[in-house]
Amino acid sequence: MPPRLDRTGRQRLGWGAVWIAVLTYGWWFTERVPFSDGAFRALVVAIGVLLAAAVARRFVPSTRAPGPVTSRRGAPGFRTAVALWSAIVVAVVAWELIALGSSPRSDHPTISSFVESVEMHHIGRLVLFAGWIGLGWMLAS
Amino acid sequence: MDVGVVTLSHPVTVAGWIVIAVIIATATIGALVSRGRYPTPVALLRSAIRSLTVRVVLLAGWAWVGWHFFVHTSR
Repeated sequence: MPPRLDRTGRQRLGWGAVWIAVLTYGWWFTERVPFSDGAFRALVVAIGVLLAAAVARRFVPSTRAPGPVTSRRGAPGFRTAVALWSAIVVAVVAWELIALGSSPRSDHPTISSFVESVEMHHIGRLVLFAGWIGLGWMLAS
Repeated sequence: MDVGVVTLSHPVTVAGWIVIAVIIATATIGALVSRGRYPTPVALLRSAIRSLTVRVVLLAGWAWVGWHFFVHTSR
C-alpha cells in the first residue's frame, strides 16, 4: 500500500501539476504567430484563467504562516527601501523614455530590445512566460 | 519632458542600463542579507497591493506587459 501524503505533500503535488500545465500551455502559447488573433485569444485565456484561479483561491482557507518581518511595514528600513525602490523605478522609466526618444533603436536599446533578444529562442519565451505568470499570480492572489 | 532633445551615444545608453541593473541587483541582495531590516522588492510589492487600487493598476500593467511581449512582439 503506497504511503499517504499529508496536506503539505498534497499541496506540493498540486502545485507541481499546476506548473506542468502552465509550462505546457506556455510552450504552445509562445509558438503563436505575433500580432495574430490566435496569440491574442491565447493571452486572454491565460489572463482569464489566472484571475479566475486567484479569485477561487480566496475561498480556500490558507495554511501558510504569517509573512516574515520583511513583508511588514514595520520593518526598520521600510521607508528607506520605499525611497530607494521609487528612485530605481524613476531611473528605469527615465532611461527607457530617453532610449525610446533616440534613434536608431539598435544604438539605443530599450527594455523591449533586451526582451526581444531573449524571445528569439522558444525556451527564452517560455521562461519569460513562466516569470510573467508567476508575477501575475503574486499580484492577483 | 521632451525626451527627443536628449541624445546619447550607444555606449552611454548601454552603460546606463548596466548601472541600473547593478543597482537593482545590489539593492535586492542587500535587502535579502539584511535579515529583515530592509524589505525585499517582493515584500514591498506585497505591501503595495494591499490597496485594491494599486493591485488593479498593477494587474492592468501586468496584462499589458503580456500583450506587449507575447502578442505585440517583433521577434
